[in-house]
Amino acid sequence: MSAKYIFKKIGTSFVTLIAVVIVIFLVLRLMPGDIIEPLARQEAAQMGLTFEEAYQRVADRYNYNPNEPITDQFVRYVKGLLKGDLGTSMINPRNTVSNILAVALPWTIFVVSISLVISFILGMQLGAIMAIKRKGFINNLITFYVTLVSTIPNYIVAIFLSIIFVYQLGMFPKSGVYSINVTPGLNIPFLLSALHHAILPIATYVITSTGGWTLNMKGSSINVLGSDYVFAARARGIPSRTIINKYMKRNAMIPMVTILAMSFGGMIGGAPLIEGQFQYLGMGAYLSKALGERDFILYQGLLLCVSVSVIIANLIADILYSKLDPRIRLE
Amino acid sequence: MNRLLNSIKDFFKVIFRNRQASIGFFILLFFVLMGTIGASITPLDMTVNFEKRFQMPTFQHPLGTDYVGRDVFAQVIHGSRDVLTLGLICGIIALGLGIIMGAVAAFVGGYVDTVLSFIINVSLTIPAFPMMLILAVAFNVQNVWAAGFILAVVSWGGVARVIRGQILSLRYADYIIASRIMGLKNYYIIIKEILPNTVSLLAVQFIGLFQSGISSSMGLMMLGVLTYRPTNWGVMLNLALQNTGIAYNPKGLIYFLTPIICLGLLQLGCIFFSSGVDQALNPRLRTE
Amino acid sequence: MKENIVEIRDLTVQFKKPRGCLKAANNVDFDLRDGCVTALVGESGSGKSTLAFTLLNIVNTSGEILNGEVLYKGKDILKLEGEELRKFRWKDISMIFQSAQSSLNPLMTVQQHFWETYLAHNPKAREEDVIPRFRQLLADTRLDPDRVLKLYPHELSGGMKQRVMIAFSMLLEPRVIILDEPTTALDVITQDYIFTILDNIHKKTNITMLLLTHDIGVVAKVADRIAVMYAGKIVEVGDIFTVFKDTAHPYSHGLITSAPSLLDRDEIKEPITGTPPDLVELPSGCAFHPRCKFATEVCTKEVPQLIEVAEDHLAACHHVGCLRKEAQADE
Repeated sequence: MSAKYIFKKIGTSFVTLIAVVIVIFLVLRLMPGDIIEPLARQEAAQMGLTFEEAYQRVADRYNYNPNEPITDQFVRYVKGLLKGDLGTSMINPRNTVSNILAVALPWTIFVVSISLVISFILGMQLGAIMAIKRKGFINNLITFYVTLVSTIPNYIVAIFLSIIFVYQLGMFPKSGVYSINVTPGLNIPFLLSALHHAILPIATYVITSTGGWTLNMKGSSINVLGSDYVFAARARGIPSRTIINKYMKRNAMIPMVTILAMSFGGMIGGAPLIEGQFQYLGMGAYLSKALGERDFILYQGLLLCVSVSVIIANLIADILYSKLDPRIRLE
Repeated sequence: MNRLLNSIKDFFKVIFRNRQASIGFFILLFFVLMGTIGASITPLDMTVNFEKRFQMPTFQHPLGTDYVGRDVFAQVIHGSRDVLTLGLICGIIALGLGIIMGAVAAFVGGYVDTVLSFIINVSLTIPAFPMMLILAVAFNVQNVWAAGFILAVVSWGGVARVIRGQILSLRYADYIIASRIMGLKNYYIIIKEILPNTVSLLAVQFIGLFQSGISSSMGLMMLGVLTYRPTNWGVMLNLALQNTGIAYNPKGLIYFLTPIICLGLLQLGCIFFSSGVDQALNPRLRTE
Repeated sequence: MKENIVEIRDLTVQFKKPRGCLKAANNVDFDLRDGCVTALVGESGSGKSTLAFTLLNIVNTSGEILNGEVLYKGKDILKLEGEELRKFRWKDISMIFQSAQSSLNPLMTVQQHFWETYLAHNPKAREEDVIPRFRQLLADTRLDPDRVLKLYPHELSGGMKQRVMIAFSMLLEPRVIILDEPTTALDVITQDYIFTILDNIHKKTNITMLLLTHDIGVVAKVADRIAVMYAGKIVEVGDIFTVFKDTAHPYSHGLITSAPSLLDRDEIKEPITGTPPDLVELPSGCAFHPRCKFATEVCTKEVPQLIEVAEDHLAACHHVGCLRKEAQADE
């Protein structure tokens, strides 16, 4: 039965993927003006071709011809995607989305998932503490922290962290994902260097997203503590530690898992700002660079990749959810 | 009319009984006054005057001057008008879209629900911020209406999902089913039963959209998009980061911190006010 | 006469509500006879459940035991704390909840529930040693152990769940079992089935039972003794035959005569008029006086105490003789 559930979810993800492809395809076509015309002019001048010839060459290179009917364009676009052509940079045709993806996506996923795991676990613990001890110093302290971080957007935290720890104290590198002095691979210096570069982006995400998890978990835990089955467990003489761990935390966590994927999407969406601030060369930094250079075709490809990673995160969260909640498996 | 006045009175009674909510209310009121009256009576002079750059606060310049000698105080006041307008436009349009999508999905049900829910899901799948970025650039946004619209088009999904869930849970609640069996008309049920139980949710969602609209728009401006108004706090922050060398230049600190503190305070006001709004409008939380 | 296994003395339980304080039990004296089935009868909100919960020294959220004693075999349960209290619950007194549907942890199988509770009271036990006992208990309630042990709560039907709860309540061989409206949510046939099972258990183990219900028909069928509760007070208590035959309190009379019966086809029912009392602002004097046709001035001023009206029959009414007189006049 579990397999059926997973297959169903995979099917939904696939349909979502198709819709996302359509939306992202449309964004570029709805753009006013002809974005490849300037490139064609440049090409014509450089290579000594007629404008028409140059235009054709450019259209082929980018697999994008705005003069075709929109349906043909879509067919052409999807065919390209199926062949692995996710897009090419308009600034430097040697940069393809696939190339950038290979060097950038792993770092973004690395930073975002570590941040997500840390802030989720922290939030679960803090929220549980708040639900158990409704009053007192610790509760006030956590409330203060949660309020503070919910007033400041994560990119502001990133600015402060970079000013203090990178520029003033010089404790962390100004840019990049690992030092040029190490060789990538499974060796200690490389891993340490990667971690050293990733700490500030991770800290930014953790500082700002723990608050939301804490509040959600607190509300959910209080609900569970008021439930009949917790009352019944107390009447059975179940030790309070067991009630907190096996009853409250596990049950309160289930609705949180459904938010995991959305939170992942939010974090990855904020990457242009966060990674941009630390010049951490992940997808966000490339997105922000592509936008700055008005490299729309590259941007489109990168956006599609980021969206696909969110779809996959959704799928993982659904599967996780079915593993945690026996009620789901039945369907 | 009298009933409306009375419910407004009741609303504020609850707000003022709640200390947090009243603080939130006064913070918001402060910013509203700043953006309306304040912006009308404070002259804004954006002429460049290099001699006066990076001045410390004086009577003439309560918050000092920026990197080209312009008054920071006047900028932040004029900026508040744009920030609030943008937040409101985004909130209203996104809430409207969310209500339409969520309510239609929930009320009509069947395959309409399936299709709309799918659209809602897709809109939640594509990361919002990068989508706003590309739309803002692609349509070369130059005014607050277009900016608010772009923000709203990307952020309605969450609201639609919440509203759909709420209406569905109400639709199948026992007392609604009872009203149907009693033969009450649909619109009567909507107005008398469903709306009162949704108002607090809508208000809280609206405040949330207002908040996220403002913080996302400032984020967009930091990346050099939506820079149609130089006094918007986001643009001020962008300029402060680009032009003051803030990491090493303590003289630019006030200029740099002013929009951040304003943003933080505004967000705090929203969060505090929102808690009271829920209490005042949610029939289940209202206690005599 | 049998001995008292539980004696409640001068017990007051209070709930803090926004409108004021609600006394769900108001200076209650109440006994359970060893080996007897005692029915505690009253309208919803009369304080039955709250009173029963104090036998396990447990109160719902926002409730507080103000004063009184709950003596189990002469030992005050309300003075138990920590481990001692935890070990007492379920081992000596167990319970079947009104909300059987939701009193199991949705994330645990039946076997996990049984084992968790068993382990909480026998820390040195080994699971494989006690599984035969679990199976026997389930078989006693006519459930298929092979199947049921592995099921999650949502996979059990209402009747199955209630039978699981009965088996569960017998797990540690308690001396007293509280049945809080054990059949409210079930259909009539299942109800009957449940009572047959309970009856068998009672015959086999001679366990003391406290049955909370508002169904007089059920009381007549299974109980040895009856106690009637109104607005947080016991208003009449005694042997079932005595109380049914010679009811002393007008409220009990109303309850007993309003029960439908196949025999009294034509008899005109005398329903209890008026509305249940507001527990936050109780009527002065006897709380029942606004609804009582015998009420006189003294009823509005003085709270009646439980007095002996016959052997083993107590009632709290200023006019205990009125009903008898009325009956004689009718003849």
